[in-house]
Amino acid sequence: MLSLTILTIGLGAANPKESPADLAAWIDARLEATWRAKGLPPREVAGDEVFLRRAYLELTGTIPSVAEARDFLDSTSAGKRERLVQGLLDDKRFAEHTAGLWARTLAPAGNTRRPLEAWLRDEFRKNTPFDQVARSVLTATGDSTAAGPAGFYFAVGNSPERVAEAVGRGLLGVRLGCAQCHNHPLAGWKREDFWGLAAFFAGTGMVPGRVNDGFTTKITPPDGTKEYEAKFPEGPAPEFPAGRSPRAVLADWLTTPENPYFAANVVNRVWQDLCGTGLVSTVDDLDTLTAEERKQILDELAGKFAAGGYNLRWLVEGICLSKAYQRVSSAAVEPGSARRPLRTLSPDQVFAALDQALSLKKGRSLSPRYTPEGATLKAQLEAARGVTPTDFRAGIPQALLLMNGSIVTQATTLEAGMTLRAVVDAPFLKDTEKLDTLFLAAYSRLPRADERERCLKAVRAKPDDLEANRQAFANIFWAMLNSPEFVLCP
Amino acid sequence: MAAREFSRRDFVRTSVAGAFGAAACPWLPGLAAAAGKKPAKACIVLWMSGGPSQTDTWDLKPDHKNGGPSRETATAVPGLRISAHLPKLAAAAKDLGIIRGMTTKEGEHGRATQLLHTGQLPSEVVDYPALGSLFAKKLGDPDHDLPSYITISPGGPGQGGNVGAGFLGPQYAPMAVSGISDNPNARANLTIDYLKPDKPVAATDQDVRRQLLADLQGDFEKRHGGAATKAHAANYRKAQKMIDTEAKGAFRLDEEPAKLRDAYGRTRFGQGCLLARRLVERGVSFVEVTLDGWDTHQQNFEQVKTLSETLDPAFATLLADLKDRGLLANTLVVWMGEFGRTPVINNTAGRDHFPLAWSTVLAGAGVKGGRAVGSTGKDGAAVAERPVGVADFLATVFTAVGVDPTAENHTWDGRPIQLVKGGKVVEELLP
Repeated sequence: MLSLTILTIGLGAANPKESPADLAAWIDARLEATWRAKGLPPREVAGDEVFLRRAYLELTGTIPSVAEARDFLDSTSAGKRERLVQGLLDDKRFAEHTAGLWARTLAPAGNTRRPLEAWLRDEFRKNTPFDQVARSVLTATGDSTAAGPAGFYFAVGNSPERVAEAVGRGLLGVRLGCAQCHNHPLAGWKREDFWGLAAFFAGTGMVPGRVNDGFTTKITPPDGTKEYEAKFPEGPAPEFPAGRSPRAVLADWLTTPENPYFAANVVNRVWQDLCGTGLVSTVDDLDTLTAEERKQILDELAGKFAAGGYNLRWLVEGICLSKAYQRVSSAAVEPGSARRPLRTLSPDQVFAALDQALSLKKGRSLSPRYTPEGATLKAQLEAARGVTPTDFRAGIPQALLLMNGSIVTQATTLEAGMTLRAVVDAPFLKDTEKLDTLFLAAYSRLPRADERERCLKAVRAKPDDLEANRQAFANIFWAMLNSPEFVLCP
Repeated sequence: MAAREFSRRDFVRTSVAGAFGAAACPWLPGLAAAAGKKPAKACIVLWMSGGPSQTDTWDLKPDHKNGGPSRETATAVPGLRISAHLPKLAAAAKDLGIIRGMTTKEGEHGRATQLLHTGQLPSEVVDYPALGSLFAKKLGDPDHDLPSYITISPGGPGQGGNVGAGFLGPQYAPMAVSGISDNPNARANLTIDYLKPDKPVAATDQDVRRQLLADLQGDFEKRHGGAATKAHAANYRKAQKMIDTEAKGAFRLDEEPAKLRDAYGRTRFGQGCLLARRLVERGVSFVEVTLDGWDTHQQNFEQVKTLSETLDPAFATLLADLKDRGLLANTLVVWMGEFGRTPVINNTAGRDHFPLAWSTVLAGAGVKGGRAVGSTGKDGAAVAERPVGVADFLATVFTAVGVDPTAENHTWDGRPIQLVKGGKVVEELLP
């Protein structure tokens, strides 16, 4: 039904032994050719301090500690960026962060993602091939409220319609949801496409807590008399061998060449998570691309990903090693240009960054990661979650919260601020070294010359007043935590 | 497949080209602001948290055993009678449009609170925005120094219900004003959260912090630019302005004559109503003031009497005060809770949750007062005449302030959602 029937998956695909560095070189060659054709000069590769903060935020969801930042910035080794990326991919925070992203992608509206997310964390830690992860989700049975792939059904709302919508968006990168009620006005999806996908799940037993296989392949929408047969969104009519569940048949189709969406969706979403925008336009609209646009890079990259066995870690490493990933960002980015935009930290990243920079207290008993104040802060930050990594949705309440809320206020008082006190009261540090440490804690970099001068002026405003000197560091730290550099990532 | 003459891709492109880098458009100033200045309409909701008893406020049954000990009083409008505990409102009855035929289907506090605020029960698919957020988007001025949706003393058994911005996003979320004291009879001390640092910071240090922050903002803007940087700076500018002006002085209730403050009642709710007037006066589009305590499963009659003594002077003085200042014609005042209470009195002299037949009140913004629409018959057990569902009610609220209730917003995934789905306005109350 769509014009983009030409499939390149498998064609031009990689030698399975292609290394992440080879992938990076290939990405750069392709993008530079594209930019040349469009008359866009490639931007320069960003400095170490920008690369460091990016890599931490995008691979682990948090910022580096003072020691981690110092080690990286001080190193003069040629391969330090590669080694940092590899080290972060081995860090358990990579699996945690990636699981959070994919749980949200698969169940954007749900607030019951925990079981799904807990299971994904293990899969990403093991680097299970992504097609297997998707197959596990599509064919899951068992307890949906305990960590496991069945948690997907609990997270999206336990009905064939919700599952179809989530599979469409999360695993195929197309928005079928509108076609639930009416033929899609713009992308050409019909009700039979939506309900045809939902029909694969018509017999699936879904009650809170339990998912079972069923063998029905027909579904009747609640409001209609018409019955829809299970049908793939693309490709030939499905066949159902005896004893094989409809969901397994759908899972088989997912990675066949008849499906132009699966690998491209993963590649495009990973690109957006790492680089701030999708390789092509938006991540939910793969169905509206022309063949021309897809050929530019998306399909070939998807082909390499498929040929390499849907190895997520390999894909992420290859992208992060590319110059494309490492170039400086642009203030305004044309969609589909594969340039890096200035991105907004997600509420999780802001919280994690505060946690790291302030050495927040850990909670006890029920929620080991958060104290009650931490949980409140997290909820208040969460209200400002954007749709894409470039959306800035925080409002005045979040500004007031960071300026005057209890956590930042305490962190910037000399009595209670853990980081601040460690810095200010360290007898062996000179003013300028104290300043360096605060900059590393908040910004993961050293102050620039003009910043250093400005800040030292504040520190030395009253040379004979020791208390004023200490308070000046508190003021500097407060200003950094409230500045755009703390919540935006260039 | 058929040729797509105008694909969603084109649509996405067009809108992105128009709002470069801001696909979700949250930072574009509302077109409404640019489309000429009409007299600003506003809405104040008096939220009766817990579910107020209609049988002991607006729809008494003195001739039936369900009526209990509550007594009626005549009002300024011949034939219209309300509770004797509401004498000042009785005198102001010419402004009150009472709806006695409210009928809804949800009797759980949180879900019903959401229903009355959004017109919808909680959904896994769509995070519906509350009335205040919808008003903020439609009527609010995005460049105003104060947020367009302010909620005063929120709380109560239904606070688990969503009364936030939902899919409209945080720029339309309510700014909460909480009282320092939880004792409703203590001198009200209302303020916006985080308007002052959690621990005092010396004024000189505050100045130094601001200057350091301004320098850091300037540097970042110069190096990186971008829509998010601008939005961040605008937020801090507004937040700092709110701190400096103490929210345009709206909270300086001391400026009001002591007599007027007394007239509202020196209660948290009374002073909250006064604050609501000051906020509307300063251009805020939507203010909700909560009076909690209506969940009267036991000792209903004593509790309703006490609550009425808080409500009556506050509500009546609010109407008179708005009128004195020429604000009532453009300000809709809505009195509502999440549901009513059983006409049958339970064995602890209380009344339980009852969404089937209850009352709400509208006043101001041209609403035809001096009348009660609908009836619940002799015993109050069901709506006998002129039922009004939640969609009808909300459609009336939007229409009263000149907003088309069928107007649409779009969710983040492009679903069109009407302000109110279905619903016929209560014509009897509209001009």
